Parts: sequence; structure tokens; C-alpha cells
Amino acid sequence: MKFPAIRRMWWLVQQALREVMHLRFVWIAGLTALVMIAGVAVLREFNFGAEEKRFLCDYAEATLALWGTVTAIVLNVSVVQGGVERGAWVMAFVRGVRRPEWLISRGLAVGVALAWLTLLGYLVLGLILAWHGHAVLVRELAMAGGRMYLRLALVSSFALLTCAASSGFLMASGLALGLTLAAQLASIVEWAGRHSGTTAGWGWRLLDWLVPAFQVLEAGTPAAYALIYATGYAALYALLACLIFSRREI
Amino acid sequence: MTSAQPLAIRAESLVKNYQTDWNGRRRRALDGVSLAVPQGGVCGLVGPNGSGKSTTLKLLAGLLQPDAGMCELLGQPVARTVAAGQVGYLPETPGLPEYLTGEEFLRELAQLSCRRSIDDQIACSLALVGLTAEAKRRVREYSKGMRQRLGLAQAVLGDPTVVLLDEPASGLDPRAADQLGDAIKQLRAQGRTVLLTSHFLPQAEEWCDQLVMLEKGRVVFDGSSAEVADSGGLNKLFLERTGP
Repeated sequence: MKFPAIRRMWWLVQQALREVMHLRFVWIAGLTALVMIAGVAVLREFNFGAEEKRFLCDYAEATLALWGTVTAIVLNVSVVQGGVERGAWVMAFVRGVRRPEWLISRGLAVGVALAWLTLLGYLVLGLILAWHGHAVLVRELAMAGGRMYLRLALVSSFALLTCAASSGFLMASGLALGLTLAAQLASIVEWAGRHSGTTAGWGWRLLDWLVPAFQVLEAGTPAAYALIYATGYAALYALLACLIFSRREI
Repeated sequence: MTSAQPLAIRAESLVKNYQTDWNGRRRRALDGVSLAVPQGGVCGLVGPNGSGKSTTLKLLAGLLQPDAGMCELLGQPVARTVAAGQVGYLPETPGLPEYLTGEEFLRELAQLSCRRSIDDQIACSLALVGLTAEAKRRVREYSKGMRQRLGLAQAVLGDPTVVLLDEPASGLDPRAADQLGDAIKQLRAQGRTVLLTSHFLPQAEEWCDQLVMLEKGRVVFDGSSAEVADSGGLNKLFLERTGP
């Protein structure tokens, strides 16, 4: 009798989520909220005039983008690399779990955790804006939260790929940070591709095609385009990760 | 070794190389290993460190692919037997989640594959390794021996026909090693085939009815426990057939 793959994935995601919670994810999320609230409490002492709302939003989003990136990489490295090094995947594998199933379940669990983190971050931002006496537009916040989540999901897919392709925590984290940096500096990469010599230019252009640009996820881009763009790249990176992980000798 | 019984484990001329650096330099871990274990048999793989015992087990568990040669479990390719849930495997260092109880850990694994009642499976596995009374304690509170026994419990969870144990006696005190011996005898009585690696030669001699000795990736001895006894014991054989 074959164990249904969907049901098995469901169990795998649940197990990976339990592992994420065990990694003190609640503390990480709590600390994020605390840093945002503490920072805003300090900022209350300053007078930003008419720009205050914009400044508070930028501060909160920068905090979330930075901390969320670190969290996405650390969680992926812990649950994927940690699972490989501890032999957890071996015990699942001999129970008929395919390598891509195991890897994707870990990626999904991290995705759920990042969704919680984003939700918490924008709830805190809403509270901060209300506390400062600004109007809170729920739809506006939800859209901004969605864009932030797409960004963190992309970082998570980078980390999933680097964990699948490399051995060792430092290598996986370093490569994921490198990809994140390239995505952040995509406009510079594109400029370098246009202005470099033939060989170097091809290298820059290749990097430009392979790495998504975070600027596409910003408010100026239509939401549907940003969603398709980020989902496409995240799926591509996850597919590559599965291909590599299936063939890698561990 | 010849036997009238059908073979549970069959490996022919297995070769496995590991890449050792970025230049593509490779080290040969297995160099033509052949192995045949009849159904219901208990076979011990012994040999010095780096002789290829764990690599052989990983190939048979489908965790690695051979560079040459073939291996079969229950007359089928390894991948198919593993996918059917008929193989149990105890890694050399089983990574157990510290935050779960022994029972919760087994339940998590059982959910992935069990074909009959999960509770019965867990109870049977825990009873086999003598951990029933400790099932509700967190893994972080377990001693090294208890962790090893929990690792064995997960290997036999789900009634696998072939059980592969990589250094199951590692870190066990004499009493726990005796319990492990009893568990292996029970597995044999249930008709399961066991292939284990061990550095503890007297125990391997006692537990196994077939012994295979590896040295530098090659089989240097393959015989029954009676043949080992006739040759003056496993310790003597080990010193004679393996290099300094």
C-alpha cells in the first residue's frame, strides 16, 4: 500500500514547523517586535514634521527587511543543513520519503514562519502608526506586507538552494547572503553588464538574469506583476535546489 | 557463502569512490565487495576503521549510489525495496530531536510510513529495545545507551524485512549491549534479516551467524560463525587478515 504523497508532505511540513518552533522562533519574532517598538519609542523624541509617517514606515520596513533576511537564512540553514548533518533526512528517506519532498517541506515550514514574522511586523507597524496619531490604512499595510513577504520568500529560496548545494553552515549562509546582496544591488549589476567589456559583461548579464531584483517588488510595480515575478523566481530556485539535492552525495 | 534459502541481501562487485577535493581526486572506499545474506540471517560486517563497512551499509540503504557493481534487497533493486518501506536503517550517529519524547519521535517517523496501527508499532518497537518505561521522557534526558536503543527502535519501526544497523553497540554498557543482543535474537526469531557493522568482535561473533571481514574496501573473509570458530575465533582472524 502506498502512503499518499500529499499526506506525507503534510506530516513533513508539520514536523519541520515543530523544529522551527524549537529553534526559538517565537523569541526571534518577539525580539523583532520589541526592537521595532523600542526604536519607535526613541524616535518619538524627534520631530519629523509632515514626513513622520513616511519615516516610521521606512524604519519599520528596514528593520523587517534586515531582520527577516537574517531569520530566513538562519532558519533554512538550521532546518536543512542541520537536518542533513544530524541524519534526520536519512531516517525519513528510508521510510520512502523522496529527497525533494523532504527539502520542499522544510522550505514550506520556513515560509510559514516568515509569514508569521511579516504579519507580526506589520501589526506592530499599524499599532505604532496609531500610537503616533496617524491614520492606519489596512489595505495599504496589507499590500506592503505582501511585498515584504515576497522579498523574504525570495531570500528563503536563495538559502534553500545554497543549503542544497553546499556542505557546511558557513558556506550555505555566505552564498545565500551573496545572492541577497546581488538581488538588492540588481540595478548596479545591470549597469555593470551594460558598461563592462565583452567577457566581464557576459558575467554581469548572466548574474542579472539569474538573480531577481528586489526593486521590482517595491511599491511602484503592479502587485500582480510583483507576485508573478517573485513566485516564478522562488519556484525556479526551489526546483534547482531539488535537482541538486536529489543528485548530491551526502 | 552458499545457502539454499532465498537471499535477502545480494551485492556483486560493489565499487565506490569518494571525491576528496576540488581537483576531482578520488579515494576508493569499496573495491569489488560482494555479499550474500540469506533471508532471516544475521550477518556482521567487521573490519578496521575506514575499511568500507558504513559505505556498504549506505549503498544497501540507497543513501549512496555505487560507481560499479550492483546490489539488491529481497530480489529487487534497493530503491524499490526502500520505497516500499521494507528496510530499517540505524545510522552510525542517529540525530535524535532533543525536544521530543522517545514516543513522540517514533510517532513522527511512524506517521511517514506505517501501514498498520501506529500505536501498536511504537509499543512493539519500544518493547523490543526495553524502552517502554522511558517512552515519555524527553530525548535530551536520555543516556548515550538509551539514545542508541531509541535509534534501534526507529530502525525496526514499521516491520521492515531487512534491518541495517551501523555500529549498534557503540556507546553501550555491557548490560545495554546484552539487551541489544536479545533484541537482535528476537529480530532473527521474527524472520527478519539483519546486517550490522561492529568493532566489538566478541559480540559480533555471538550475535551473527555469518561474518564478513573488510579490509581497505575488499572482502578478506566471508564465512559462517562455525567457520570463524574453526579458524580460532574472530579476534585471531581479524589480526591475521587485516593490516597493522
